[in-house]
Amino acid sequence: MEVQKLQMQIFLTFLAGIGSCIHASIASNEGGKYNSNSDFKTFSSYEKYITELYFKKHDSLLDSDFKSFIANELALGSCGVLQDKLNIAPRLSVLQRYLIDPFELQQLLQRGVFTDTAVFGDTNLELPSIVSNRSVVEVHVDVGGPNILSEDGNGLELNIELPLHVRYPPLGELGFSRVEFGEPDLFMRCNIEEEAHNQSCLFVQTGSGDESRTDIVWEVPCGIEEHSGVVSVVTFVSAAVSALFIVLAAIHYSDVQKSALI
Amino acid sequence: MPSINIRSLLLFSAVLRLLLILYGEWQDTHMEVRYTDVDYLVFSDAASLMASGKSPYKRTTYRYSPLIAFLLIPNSIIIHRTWGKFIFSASDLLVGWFIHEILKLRGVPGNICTHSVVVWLFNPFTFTIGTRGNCEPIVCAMVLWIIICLMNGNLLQAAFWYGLVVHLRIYPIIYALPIILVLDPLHFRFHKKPALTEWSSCNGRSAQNLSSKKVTGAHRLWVALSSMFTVERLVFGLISGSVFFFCTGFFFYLYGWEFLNEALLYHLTRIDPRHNFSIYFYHIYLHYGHEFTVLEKLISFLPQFIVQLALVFRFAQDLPFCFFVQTVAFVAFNKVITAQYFVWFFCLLPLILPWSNMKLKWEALGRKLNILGRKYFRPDQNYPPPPILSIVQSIRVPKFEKNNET
Repeated sequence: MEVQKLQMQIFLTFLAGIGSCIHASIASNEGGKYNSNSDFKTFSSYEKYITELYFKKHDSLLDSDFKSFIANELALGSCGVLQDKLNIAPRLSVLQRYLIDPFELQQLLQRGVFTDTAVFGDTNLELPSIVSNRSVVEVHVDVGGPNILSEDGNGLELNIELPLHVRYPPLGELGFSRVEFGEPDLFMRCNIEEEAHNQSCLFVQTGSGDESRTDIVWEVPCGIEEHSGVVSVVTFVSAAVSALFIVLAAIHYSDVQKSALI
Repeated sequence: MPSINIRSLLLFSAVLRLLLILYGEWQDTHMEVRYTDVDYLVFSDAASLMASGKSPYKRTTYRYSPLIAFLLIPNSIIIHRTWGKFIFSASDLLVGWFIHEILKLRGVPGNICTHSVVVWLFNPFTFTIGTRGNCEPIVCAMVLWIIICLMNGNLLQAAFWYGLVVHLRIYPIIYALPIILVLDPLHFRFHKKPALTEWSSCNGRSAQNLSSKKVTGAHRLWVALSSMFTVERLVFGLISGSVFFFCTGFFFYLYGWEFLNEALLYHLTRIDPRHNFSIYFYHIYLHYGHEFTVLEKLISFLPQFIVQLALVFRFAQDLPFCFFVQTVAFVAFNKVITAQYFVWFFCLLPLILPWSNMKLKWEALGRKLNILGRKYFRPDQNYPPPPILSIVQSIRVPKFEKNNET
């Protein structure tokens, strides 16, 4: 049975009034526009989506390319004290059977569920998965102000519900296809508001710290390949018989009219 | 039973649609499931792109003519995001008005006209289509206007609107052949009103008043084929073709292959196993991994083609009926059927209702209730007629009255 995986990123941002965030070499990008001539290695506070940067250089999503992109092309500046203080372990909530859909994400955005959200890659919902490319969902959540830097060590738990869309999966033998949900990539961005100027730093959270967590699996109904012959025959015979009835009815109608005239 | 004025009916329908649009705004804001159709968001986004000088096809899944996006530009600039819904709902009301006009032209009694219009205006499927932001009412209104133009002998206008509607939506191309056939020299001349099917109370449908002599089907076909290139047909073909190619060429100049691929070619090759009521959907899904053979494509195309030809050659002279059965058959045999396709023939259904068997069923019901009513009161006791008898009186059809007089 073919297994499909969902790629997801959660991008957390928070504001800190004071802090000793070590400023990484983040080049500011005046006017909020990305300069296509510059090195792809920077992700300034003006950039909106990490994944957008990836897809500017790559046509499709490959795990190896994406990992290389994170490791080499994002300026993951250390946030110093803040990074040490944070204890965020991403947990996937129990799967809710919604549909992932850019339009639904938009609605959630308008209702303020997320700060920002976007889908990258293949967003054509009409095609079955066999002819579709992978897609990435990037979700931005604002986790709040300096209070999260408290020393009590309770950490931060986020529950994020996403509307998930099921494409027609590849054909199978048993009538079900498995979709596995792995851990999302979690990025943290810290925005420091200081008197003179604002700065931001970015780091990636590695490891969930939760060894007992198992992948979430969704079993999706799929077509059964060995039925294709029977289905084709039944479909074409139905169409042919229906067409024949209509043609005969049209001819018979003219015969009835003739007799009525007589 | 008091007769309902068509203007009152339209006014009431307009108020209903206004309330639905307002309700839709509330639901979109307060509930998780939107009232507004996803397509409306696509139109609005495409309109915003167009307003800022960009191609509407930058919006993924925008697969319509740029004219639709152009109509919705006020959504984002001038007026309000519901502007488009008002346009579509107004078209919806126009469809009701056109249905009334077509039936009047055919001499259908006023009350039956009104009842037929009600079938469109108060059908929950159709009044939600426009208020949710679907553009199909515009296409329906244009198709009905083309019928009215032909019934009034207005060939040039009919040709213009036909070229435009085929540009907007490809499916009306199936009406080309019946229109060409109906323009035969026996009963269609330039600037003269053609002979129309008249509603008759006696047998429900009179024979066509085509000419002084009886015209058989075979003779009609022979005349149609031998005099294919009449002035009227050439003019219709030239004007409609010019309008279609002008619009297509103009937007190709503006938006290039993206326009052609998304607005036209996509619909010709669309095979969508997703939201699809077609009998072919499961067959398509099971075979998505490999290309269909030429034989398979031909076999799936043949039933639709043969049915269209049979219906056109049999019913072309009754244009509304021909349009209706053609559309039903086209939708039924198409490889993709989405819910909005049903609107294509819903707008034509009221045009044939006065001739349908529903009248016979009303007559049978009327007889039964009349007999029942007579069982339950005695004329000598001067009782007021029970409500059941009032119902009988209100649904009597002319033939029933004629039978009672004898």
